[in-house]
Amino acid sequence: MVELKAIDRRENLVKKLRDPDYRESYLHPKKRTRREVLKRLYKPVFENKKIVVAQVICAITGGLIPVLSAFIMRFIVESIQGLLSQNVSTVGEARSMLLSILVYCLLFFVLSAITIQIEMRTYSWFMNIRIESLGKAFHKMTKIELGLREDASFLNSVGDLSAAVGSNNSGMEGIYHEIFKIGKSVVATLILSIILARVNPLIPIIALVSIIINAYSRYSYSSYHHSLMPKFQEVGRKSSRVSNISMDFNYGKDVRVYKMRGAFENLANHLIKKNIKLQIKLRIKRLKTTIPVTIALVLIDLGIAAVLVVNYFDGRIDAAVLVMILSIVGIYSMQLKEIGRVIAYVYEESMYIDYLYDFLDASLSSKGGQDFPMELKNKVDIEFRDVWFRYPGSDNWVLEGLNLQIKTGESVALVGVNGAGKTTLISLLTGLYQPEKGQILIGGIDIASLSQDSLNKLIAVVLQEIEPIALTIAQNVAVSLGDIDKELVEESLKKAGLWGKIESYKNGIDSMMLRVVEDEGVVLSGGENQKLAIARALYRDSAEILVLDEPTSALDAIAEEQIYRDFESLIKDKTAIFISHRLASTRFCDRIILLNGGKIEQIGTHDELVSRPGLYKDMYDAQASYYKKEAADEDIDERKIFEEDYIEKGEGVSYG
Amino acid sequence: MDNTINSNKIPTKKIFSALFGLAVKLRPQLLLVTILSSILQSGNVLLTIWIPKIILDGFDKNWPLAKFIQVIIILAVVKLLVNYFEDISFQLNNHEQNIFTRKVDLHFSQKITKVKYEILEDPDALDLKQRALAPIEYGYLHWIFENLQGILAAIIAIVGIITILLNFSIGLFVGVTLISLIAFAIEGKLSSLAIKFQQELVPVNRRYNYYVGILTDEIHQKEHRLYGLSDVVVERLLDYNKEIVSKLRDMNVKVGNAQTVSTFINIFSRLILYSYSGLRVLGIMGAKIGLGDFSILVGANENYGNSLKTLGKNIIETINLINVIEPVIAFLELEEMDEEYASESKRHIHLKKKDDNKKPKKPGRLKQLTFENVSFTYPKTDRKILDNVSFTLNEGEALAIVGRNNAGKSTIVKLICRLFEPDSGRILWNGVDIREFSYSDYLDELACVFQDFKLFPLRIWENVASTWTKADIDAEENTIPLDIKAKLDKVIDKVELTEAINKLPSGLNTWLEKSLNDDATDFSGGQKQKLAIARAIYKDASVAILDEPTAALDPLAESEVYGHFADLIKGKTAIFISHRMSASRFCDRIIVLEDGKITGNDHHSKLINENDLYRSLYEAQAKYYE
Repeated sequence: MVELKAIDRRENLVKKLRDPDYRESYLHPKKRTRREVLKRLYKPVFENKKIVVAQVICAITGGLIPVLSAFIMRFIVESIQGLLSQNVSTVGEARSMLLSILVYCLLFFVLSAITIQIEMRTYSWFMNIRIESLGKAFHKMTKIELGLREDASFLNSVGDLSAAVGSNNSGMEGIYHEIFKIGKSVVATLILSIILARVNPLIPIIALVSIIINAYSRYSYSSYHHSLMPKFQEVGRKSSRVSNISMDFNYGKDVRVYKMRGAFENLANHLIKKNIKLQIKLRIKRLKTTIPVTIALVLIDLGIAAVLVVNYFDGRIDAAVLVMILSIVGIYSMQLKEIGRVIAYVYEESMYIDYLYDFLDASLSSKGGQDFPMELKNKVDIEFRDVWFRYPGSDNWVLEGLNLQIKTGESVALVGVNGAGKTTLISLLTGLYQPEKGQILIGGIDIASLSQDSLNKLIAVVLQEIEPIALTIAQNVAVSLGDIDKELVEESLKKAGLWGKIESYKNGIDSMMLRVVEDEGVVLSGGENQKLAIARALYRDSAEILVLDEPTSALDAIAEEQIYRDFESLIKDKTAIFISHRLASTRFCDRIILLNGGKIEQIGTHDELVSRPGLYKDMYDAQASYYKKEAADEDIDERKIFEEDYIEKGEGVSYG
Repeated sequence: MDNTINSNKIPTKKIFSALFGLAVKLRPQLLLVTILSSILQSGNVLLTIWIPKIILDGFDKNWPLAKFIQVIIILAVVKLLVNYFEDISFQLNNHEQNIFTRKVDLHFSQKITKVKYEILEDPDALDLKQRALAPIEYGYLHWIFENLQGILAAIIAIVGIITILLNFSIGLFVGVTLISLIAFAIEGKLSSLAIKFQQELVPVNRRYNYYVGILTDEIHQKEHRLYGLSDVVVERLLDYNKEIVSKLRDMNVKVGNAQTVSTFINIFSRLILYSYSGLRVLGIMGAKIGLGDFSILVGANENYGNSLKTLGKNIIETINLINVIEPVIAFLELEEMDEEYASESKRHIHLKKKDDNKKPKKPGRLKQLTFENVSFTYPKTDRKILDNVSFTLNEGEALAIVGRNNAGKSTIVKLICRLFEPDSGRILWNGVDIREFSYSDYLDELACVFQDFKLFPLRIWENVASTWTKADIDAEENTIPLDIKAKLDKVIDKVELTEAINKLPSGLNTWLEKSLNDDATDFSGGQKQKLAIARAIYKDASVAILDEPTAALDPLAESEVYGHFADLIKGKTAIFISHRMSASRFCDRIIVLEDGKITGNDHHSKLINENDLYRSLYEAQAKYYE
């Protein structure tokens, strides 16, 4: 046996991250400033010159529009006043006024058109970035340690990823679009500030104060909102769970027959009430924070107006200027309000993005990166050395110091009562979970040092529950879109006993499955899905180890027997591990391993195990009792026999 | 069956009235708040038009400084109040919309528990549900009310502005209206184009969401890691990304063009109005007006255009949304089962209508259950799953039904439970067609454990004593009604769960659903099965029906379950279905189903010799134990 190397073996993350403090510091190692978050968010933007230019042009053209609107009144009023003093009486004489109106309209149209076109044509570019990040984040979620994925407290620490990448108008994309739009307000505010400062330098200062007040009040509201978030999420999670279950058609029979509709209504109503209570809290806070802001903003408008009116009476400005400035002030305060809003918005949303980056950056796999050495391919002895395991968040050991050896080429059955740890053992062997203590070796190499990829190449698993997805049959078998060995697919399907059915389809193995993509898609029964899963495992013909987890539970007796009959040819000379609670299957295997209470209780061939007293014999007898040969007397009450058998648990009864 | 899913589209008017009906029924406050906020919103618009006029008129009238300041302060206070109330009404509106959406969600899930069961097995119903869930989840229903509020506010504002315009000149009003209407029409037309694009995106989005769902759901997590399934899914997603983004881009280009055109028309109307008003101030083209009037004309025009635009946008959006929520309304219109009365048979004229039959009959304890020439084909399929099946089950008898997969075993259970109705033939309970009983009374006589039984996300005792369930999520412990405690304990003891439940800190009060309560327990498959059996025992029904109750169990658990079964059926009438041929041996009689027909109906000892299918099924398993 190759001595295992300690290198590249990583810590058991699932176990380590169970500690809340460590988890927090591992997932969120450094506190990014908001600026750093934005810098990273805008990296792809700055790399695209076209978008940057578009953004700048849009800000300028869009920013000039409100300025123009503010000035037009002044121009018109001025030229009207000029004309009034000239006492014009025909349209021709009013030409200068009409001309300035025409120029204004033309300019306004050109600026608007440019702004609209740029905005509409760049929108999808930002969406694309967001969707790409969504793909990355969700893809990563499917690759992190399964133990982490199933740990609710870990997921809570990761935060709400869909808040960052889930929609067009929040998180990432929300910030992109808002900042894109706010450029206009910033340009407009700058220009208007310069103009207004010349009238009265106090005005821009007052304006700045108004932005700060507005942004602060929004921020304090949103941080309150934030503090309520966990409660909202809790209620939301519960509500959606209750609503999912009550909308699940699979509950339809039991809900009706046991008359549970009222119970669901009660549950949902409780949660709705809780949600309403929270909402009211939040809205009251909102109204409380808006009172001072509304007052402050109106006072500021009022103050500016008062300053101007005083100036007018001082004779420092005339009516035309006053009109212009009053309309500027209206436009100005709108822009200020908008800027305040966006600052608060970006501040809040960038927090979700911070969390997203933390998740994307964190290394969340306990596996090493080594490939399984090719020269060991024919030497895949499996060894469990003192393996301890419990599921995240649970205190009960599922495996307690398990020791087990399986030789290359051996076929082994894992049996045991429900909850004995059969599936868990397989999950550990395939690298889905890491043992908390102990080691698992294949060909003498600790699998913790192997990459998941190389383990997957080595071991093909038929999972207990399988639901094919909306791809073609061949794609489902090969788990690949292109690059499919069609002959191998056919062969695997034949071996799995599904070829007859698939051959009958018009498109054969290229038929689309499910009705998601094609209305006429293929829908298989539960048993056929299991056969498809077997085909999928067989397609991986490079795998030296074959694991079948309850592959026949949905099949009837005859179909089950067929599979068993073919089983020996399926596994050929591969190492095979077969899980079943139907002991029938176990007779094919070289050895049977009986798990009980997280430990191996018995090991031996079928014949050995049935001949000595123990749990295996009890289980076998329990099943066999129903098949025992007819008693000579046909009038015997079958039911009575059953009840007696049950009471005696088969002791002292002979079978066949 | 033609009554299940109707593929005909519901007319828009009907969707509208159904939506209003929903609002009135679920949250009438929403309608009130909608009206209130439209009034405040339009009031604010009109105020914005009037304020500059008041000030400018002040200049014309040479107001003294004190008067100016007085007026400005009054205006500021009024504006402040209106703003603040608008904000409050906005908040209220959001609040009501949120509650409304939640209530709709609840209403919808309740509907699923009320519709005729056969509908739930129709794949089209599942599809309809999926299509209906998106608009509920995205809040499209309340969005419609938001739009209606916008429409109402725009109409009020428009009426106000029209009065102002009419004050100046009818010609002006006509001119401005004409131009605005052109803008309205063009924008409407182009918006519908955008909507068409959006509709095209719907199926793409649905598929996209399906694949995202594969990434996030629980059942595929192992495959993602062991087979790299997610790599394939992500590759698929990238294709959809491209499709969605390019479609969106196309749509945005069109929308952008529409907006550009409508901006042009808007500007054109502004050009005319400014020129006209300017000339009026100069005394050309009509009576001379003051600068205040000039500003009001300009403001009115601006807001007139905006209001018309809002109106157009909201109307089109509403029509679009109405189409989008069609599946919701269609689902809510599905036929419900009648629980209190006998079924109104669709196919059997000989059954009396419920009007003639004021009081449905009481089923009473079972003496004899008879299938009389029952045939049944699942809706939308061709295969006769049951073909002229007749058999009788007598009180105290245990009957097993065996056959290969899809032989129609579970269908018999569903027919007995009245989840489906036979196409022809009758099922008689003590000689009376089961459809003549009140469904609720009838159910009390049945104790079923379905093949795919489900426990509920409630406390343990609430699952067992289903008739007593309160489902109060906040209630602390000790909520078990005292009078049922003894019976509960007895039943739990019978299924041998007492020890396991006593180990739990909250005992019978423990929740079965982790996501609803942190202290919840996660029972193993076998324990759940036992609970399901306990639930059936608790009912004291006159017939027990067990469909494949041991598929997921190990041999010991299985033999235990059979033990409970023996207990459960002691002195009771029972029907037992299993692939495990062994199980059939302890029944009084076995029915062998083959291709929808009964090919054997006898004792095990007879069938093993006389029935080929039975023998081969039995031997396929038995040989392992020889």
